[in-house]
Amino acid sequence: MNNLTLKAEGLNKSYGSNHVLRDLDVELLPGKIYGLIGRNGSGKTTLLGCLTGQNTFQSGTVTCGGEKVWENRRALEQICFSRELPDTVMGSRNGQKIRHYLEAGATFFPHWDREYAKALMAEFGLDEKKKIYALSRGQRSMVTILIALASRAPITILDEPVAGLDVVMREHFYRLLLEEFGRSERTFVVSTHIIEEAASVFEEVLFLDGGKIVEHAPVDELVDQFRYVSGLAEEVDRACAGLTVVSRQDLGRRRTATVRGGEEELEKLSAFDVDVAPLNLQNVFVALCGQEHPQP
Amino acid sequence: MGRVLRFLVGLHLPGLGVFAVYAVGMTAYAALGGNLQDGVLSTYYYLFPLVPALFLGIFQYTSSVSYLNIALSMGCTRRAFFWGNQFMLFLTSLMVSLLTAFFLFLPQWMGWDWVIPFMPVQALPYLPVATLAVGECMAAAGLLRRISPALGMVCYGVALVALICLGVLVQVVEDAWLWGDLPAILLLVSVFLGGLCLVVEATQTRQAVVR
Repeated sequence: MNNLTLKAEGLNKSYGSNHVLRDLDVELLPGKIYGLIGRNGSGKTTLLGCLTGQNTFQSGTVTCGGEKVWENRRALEQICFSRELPDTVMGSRNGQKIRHYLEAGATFFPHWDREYAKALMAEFGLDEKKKIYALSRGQRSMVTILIALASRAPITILDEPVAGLDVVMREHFYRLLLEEFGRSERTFVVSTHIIEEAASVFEEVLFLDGGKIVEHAPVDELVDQFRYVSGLAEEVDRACAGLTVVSRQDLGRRRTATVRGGEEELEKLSAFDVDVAPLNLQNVFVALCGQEHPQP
Repeated sequence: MGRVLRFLVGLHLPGLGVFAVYAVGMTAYAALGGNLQDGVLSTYYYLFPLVPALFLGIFQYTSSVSYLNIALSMGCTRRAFFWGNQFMLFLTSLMVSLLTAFFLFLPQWMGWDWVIPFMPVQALPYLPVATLAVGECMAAAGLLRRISPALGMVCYGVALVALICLGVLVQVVEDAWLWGDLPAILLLVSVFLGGLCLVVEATQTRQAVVR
């Protein structure tokens, strides 16, 4: 049974003067599928690298099952962080073959499932003798997914696994993920930009913005806290009194506000002469993290 | 550490295989009557001690970073990779030296009087150390160029100095006293450069991140 909690406390990471992660706290409980969402350059890959001992950090702690992750073989054996394979290494083409990566996975991951890896190779139509530089972006994504799933690691992290995949393969990946999740009690963390597609797969979502986790909640609970309220500007303002207004957009005399509140507060909106519509996860993310100049 | 060794041994085997094929090919050519005037033998056979060290060094220079990257991305610790790589460097230096010794003595065992030894026998004991030094310098150069191409080039230059020391050392041992003379100086320079680069490797591996 997977009872490993992956936790970071007070994590700080800078690249020179660029402070990417600021006193970041996060706790990933076992046996869930998490979505990690953030804008380009927000530090998702950096965060995942720090959580998995693949990247250094200036201060803070990262533990897995209560043990420090950094340079700890026992902890690292339980974690697989699968990221996009580089097609170049130090300016030269990455001449490693898929076979080399699979053999490395089989060597280092104690739970590696060779039969499952072979089955996935066949399912994805990959040739293990092919060199990484000769693969398309989508095929490299497939190798990333294969390593993550075949590792059978209790905590498995995938960094933008669907980048370069067509819609059919993306659906295939989500199905494989859910099948594997149902079969095992592994913890999965998936970072992605394609939010709406993946929203139905995530149990909980983390929004990374400004170097911190600004939201960490079950997907349904988070989405239920938000509404679009639209109508005449004065009526919208009356309706939104007492609610947190995340953003406003005006078109002539009409106003659309994105509001956040509890269930009871949102129910009161029906008493006003305004249109009320729900948001999806992508809309919530854009509302919270997509503002260059946040509304007062 | 066992896992790292399993990982690295598999990767080093092709390189050692190439060296063995090269060594057999050159010795066979010499045995079949090749001579110093034909260019092929003088170029390849008589550079024998240098060429395997160069093979080892180039392998470390081009591969140390990518293998470290793969190992770390699969959850290997930096400490384990560093010691595993050191073990492989030591082992391959020793194997290269043993193979060199074998091919040095082979013509004598086979009675091929026309084959001139490519190095004095007295130089054999120093070959593993000098070869290892070249390997350490090239490994350090490969790691340094990851953070700075300029530093990598400087370290590459250091590796070439170690290679020159090796090349000269294996030729002058026969003619000079060991202590206080050129062979001792060259050996000390090799050991110093190798030791310095070992420290660089340790530091760079400890700070390595997966990219």
